[in-house]
Amino acid sequence: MITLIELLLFWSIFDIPYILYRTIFYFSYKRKIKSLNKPFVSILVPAYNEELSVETTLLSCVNQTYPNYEIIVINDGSKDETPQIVDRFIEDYRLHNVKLINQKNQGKAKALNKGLFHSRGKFVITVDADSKLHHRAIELIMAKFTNNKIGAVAGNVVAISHKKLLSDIQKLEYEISTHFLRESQSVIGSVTITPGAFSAYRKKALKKFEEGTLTEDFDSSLKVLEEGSEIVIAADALCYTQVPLNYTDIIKQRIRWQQGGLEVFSKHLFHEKRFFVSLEMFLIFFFGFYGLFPKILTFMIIPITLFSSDISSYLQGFGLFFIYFSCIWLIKLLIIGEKKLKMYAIVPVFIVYWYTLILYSILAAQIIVFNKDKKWGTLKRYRI
Amino acid sequence: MGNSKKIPYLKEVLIYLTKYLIILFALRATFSYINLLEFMFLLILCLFLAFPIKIYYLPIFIINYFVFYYLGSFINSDLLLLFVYLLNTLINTFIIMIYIKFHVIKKETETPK
Repeated sequence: MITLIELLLFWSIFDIPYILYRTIFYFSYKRKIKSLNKPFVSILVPAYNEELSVETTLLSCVNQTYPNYEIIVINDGSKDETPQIVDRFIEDYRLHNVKLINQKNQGKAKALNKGLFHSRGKFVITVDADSKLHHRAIELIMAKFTNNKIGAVAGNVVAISHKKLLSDIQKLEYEISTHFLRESQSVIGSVTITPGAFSAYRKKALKKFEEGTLTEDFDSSLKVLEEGSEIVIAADALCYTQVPLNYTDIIKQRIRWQQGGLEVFSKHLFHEKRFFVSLEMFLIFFFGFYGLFPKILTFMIIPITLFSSDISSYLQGFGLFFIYFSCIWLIKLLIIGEKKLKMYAIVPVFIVYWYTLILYSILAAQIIVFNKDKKWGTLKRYRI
Repeated sequence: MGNSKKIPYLKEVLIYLTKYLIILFALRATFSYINLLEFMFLLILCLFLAFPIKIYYLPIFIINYFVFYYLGSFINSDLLLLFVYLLNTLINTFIIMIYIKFHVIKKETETPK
């Protein structure tokens, strides 16, 4: 019979070295930028039914401190007013560096590739049409291309706060994944996921956006890494993005991420990589949200076994699980120097949310493995 | 609004749970009859057997169960057993990933649009 001490030891054996590893690299991350390069860049904005937010996105793109760019909006067969709004925006502001390309609905990756084909810059930046950029975002992300080895730069995607608990919880998740995970990966040039909402690519390293999986951003960044280029993060280049504000949308979104993640891991399984890229892939598979199956053991099987002995063992096991993982997330927040007390306060709620979401994703595993729907996720949109 | 309140994929989740429980009870009876039952390994095995994958992949998971059953029988420490359970889960996951690579992704890229 497994005891609670053994369970605690089992979790700690994985978590303590992992947190130490991440912390060492996290504190080596340098925010300072030496030189500010300003080559011509093409900003790609793929859009599908984004009538509520596309104008704000475009406004944030044209109000940049960066001088040298074009904007290409790719309308992927929207059924709403998206193309008309973009057309009106171009006319109203008399913009010559913004163009709209229409295509029939083929999915985000194909839309991005169409934009890539029409782009003139040696660098491309992807911006989701439900997000808005900070006015210095392009300048700061481009400044991270300090040498030819760097093939892509991930932006810092921040969840827009709606003063709702669910958006705060997601804000916490985004903060940890940007700072604790990506900043430490950046030190070794191995950021494994360049967020689709805001990332910059050297066209020569990217070649094209990967198609056939649901997470084209994850897929494309792994391809860039496999080609020998490095990926870093620009932690100061901010992009504010919408997050789902109800449980239905959040479950849909996470199941899509799980499905896409598993597809990408499978696709790149036997591909040759640098040691650190392989290591990072293993670590995010094991510790990240994508590590669905290893979590089966921690989240389902062991609690079931405890339950099979008696109810008090199960409750003790669950209590231990709750306290342990709350501590782990509090430590992560302390390491990244989070100043808002609210973030620390919501950690216990976050653990319940996280556990529920993972359990449900595991139960929906057959969708994750076999769903063939490669179209856009349709989440409820809000004005930004 | 009414539509967005629905729990997504509920039908699929219920189908998966039902399959899981049926396989679990059937294999539990079978393995205990032949004296080769280890409940934790069985719980892990059923999670993977409940996937709608090609039938010739299923024996691989079952062989994996027996290999780990014998491996586990030599281990006295519960802590070490947890690592063996984890290894078993990881190997089964690896098999699923190979399945996705060769049967799901490959099939999609070959399908003419």
